[in-house]
Amino acid sequence: MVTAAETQMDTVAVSAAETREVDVRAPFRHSAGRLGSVFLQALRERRLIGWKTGGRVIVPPRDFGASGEWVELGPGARLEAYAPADWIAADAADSCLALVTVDGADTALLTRLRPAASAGALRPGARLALRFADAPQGSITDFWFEPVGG
Amino acid sequence: MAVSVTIAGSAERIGRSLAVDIAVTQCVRAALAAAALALDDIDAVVTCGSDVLDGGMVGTRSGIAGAYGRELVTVPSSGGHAFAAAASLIESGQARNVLVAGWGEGSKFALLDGRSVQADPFYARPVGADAAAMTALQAQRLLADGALTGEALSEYGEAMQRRAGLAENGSGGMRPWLLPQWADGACAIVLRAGEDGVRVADVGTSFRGYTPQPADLDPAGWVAAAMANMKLAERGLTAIEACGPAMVTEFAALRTLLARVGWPAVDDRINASGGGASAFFGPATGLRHIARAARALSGGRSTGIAIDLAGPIGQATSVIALEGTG
Repeated sequence: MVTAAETQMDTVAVSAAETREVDVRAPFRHSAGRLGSVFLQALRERRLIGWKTGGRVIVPPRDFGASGEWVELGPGARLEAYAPADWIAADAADSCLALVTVDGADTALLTRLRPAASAGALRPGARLALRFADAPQGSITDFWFEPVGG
Repeated sequence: MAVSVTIAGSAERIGRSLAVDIAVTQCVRAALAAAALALDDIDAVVTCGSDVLDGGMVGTRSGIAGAYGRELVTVPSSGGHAFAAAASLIESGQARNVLVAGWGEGSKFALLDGRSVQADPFYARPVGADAAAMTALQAQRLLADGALTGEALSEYGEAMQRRAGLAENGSGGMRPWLLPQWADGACAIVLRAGEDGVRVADVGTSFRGYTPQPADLDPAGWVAAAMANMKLAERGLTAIEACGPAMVTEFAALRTLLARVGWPAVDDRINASGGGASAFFGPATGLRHIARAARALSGGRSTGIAIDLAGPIGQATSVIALEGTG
């Protein structure tokens, strides 16, 4: 019978001449795609839109080749979960990562919740309001959510 | 399984500044020696590792695992899935002896966590959806729903850190049970057809995206999906190994199985060495815990289960059921 065995090996001494440090920097170019480009352009116009396809409204949009139509979303939303800022880092943050279902959508999206301190008082299902930056750039960071009444 | 698959040998190396390529070759040689096989006896090699961690292409580095001149399957992102692929090669009759080798230079991630490159560059990375934040988000929801309690989570985290020989602390303000214990590591396992050794009784897998939807945030659900069609011999169960990037992920994932067997999460039969708290070197870490579960069963006739939670938030889930053949 052969048994599985753990073998502790002595460290192999390797001289400096036999090792190489390799530092690789590789820039990548990403494309938002057909639907993503429309979605991000709408953010510049302070509009949050979803892609309705197959009976579901998806946000951000995912292009699987099926036909669909754009629908306006918000301004209300439902909090699903958030990452408490004080669990991750000691530094104070003015916002925290959140998973939010925007009114009119069937999928949740990752976004920021402000202020971070308010999150601790919120439970899943809390109502949120959509807010846009003064000068949107066409990025997912152009908008965030705040507690209703906050 | 049509053809019995057994674990015939295994070896691992863990460290803080390993020459990983040398460590892989050493583990391969040691695992082969434990299995009383030579590299020439190996029909196929399955490699596992993260290219981001290794700084190189896992497939092109496979020579360090002895892959040249053999069938090669590369399963980068999950040790459990790599193990499942290896077992399938034997089960289907394509191979009789298969070597699974995995590695990762995780120590560099203790300096800068690069796992966020796996998040969507338009919709996730810009809003700070790195692995730690995503895991915290999941944990918040599970605690808010009452699926976990803070007390039980802390108890589990403390137990794992004790078993791993760690002082209880976080890093940079991060909660200890969110913090991967980054290390460099390598592990090799030799699988072969037959009944001689620790038998692979069954394998189940599931996989989720980096950003699960609200109804699918719970790792216990991922484990349940992986186990849905598995036959588990719960009688005689003596060892469970669960490995994830964070202790909270392991703790959440264990619930499905523990509910079936009735063990508390801090039972000594679970993660005897501390699970991922003892060392985490990326997706290949699960191989180490599969090997540990097998060693715990070696020479006896009891059963064991290894749960691998690979990927940045443990979303590549595998459940491996093992059986000692005496």
